[in-house]
Amino acid sequence: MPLIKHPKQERVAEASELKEIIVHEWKNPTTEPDKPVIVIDEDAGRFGATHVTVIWDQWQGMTQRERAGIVMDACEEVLSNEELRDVTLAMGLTKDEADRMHIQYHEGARV
Amino acid sequence: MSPLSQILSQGQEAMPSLRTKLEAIVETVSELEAAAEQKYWEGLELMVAGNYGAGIYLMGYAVEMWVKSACARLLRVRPDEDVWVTLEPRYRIEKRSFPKVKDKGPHSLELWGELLCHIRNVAGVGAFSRPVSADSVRTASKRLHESWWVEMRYHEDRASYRDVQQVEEVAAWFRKHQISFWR
Repeated sequence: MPLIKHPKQERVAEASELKEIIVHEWKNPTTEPDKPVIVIDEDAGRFGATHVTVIWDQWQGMTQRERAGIVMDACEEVLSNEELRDVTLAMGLTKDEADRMHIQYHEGARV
Repeated sequence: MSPLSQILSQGQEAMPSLRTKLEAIVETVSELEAAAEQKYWEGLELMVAGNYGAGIYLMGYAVEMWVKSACARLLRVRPDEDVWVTLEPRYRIEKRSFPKVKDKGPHSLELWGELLCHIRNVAGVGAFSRPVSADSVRTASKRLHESWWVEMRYHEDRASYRDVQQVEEVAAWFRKHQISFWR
């Protein structure tokens, strides 16, 4: 029987590494183009909710669910329990996706 | 027999249809909650890919299932029991209690928001715990009702990114607080 090998999907970093990069960038913001841009909307909509969106091309190839899990993990490290309670939306978007969702951002900017 | 017919008939012999498979599974609270979670993420994938209308359509169903499963849990339906045995008669009886709600259809989010508040009250489990309140449940349900209804599928997609943002925001709020609705 021939050997069928599905090569491991190329991923620059694993989930925990991605989370660490986000946490580091959140605590020590830079303007480097390949670093994640963290958009925090603390008064989203009518419910006083907080939305956290991380715009980063490293998300390529990951599902929204996987990305959201990593963003929430980062939120848990950076935010207080009180702040965390208000986070209703945690998303990871590539730059193209962020443009499609009309999310206002630019590198280095924190909303 | 055409090649396509041959393939289809072979498939029928080999495995049950999707309908047969799904209809064999009882629609329990657990099944609804799992389906809601799945539909939410699929909806988000569609939205992010620019398929706004399709994304909204799935997210609306996700919220509907979270609200209905919360009602079922308040009515003490066990996670492994059929939800409709309990929910269907309650829906038929209680929907008359809300004269101001115009859309009393079985998928009306506005009505189900009211039903959730009412059933929680009747169940005697006390007020919602902060930051959820009866007002916020009603407001969120009404807002989503303005952007989602089952028959929207008969229209071509004309949703804007603002519609998407609104639906996504409300759906994310429901997802976050789904346990607070019945606990």
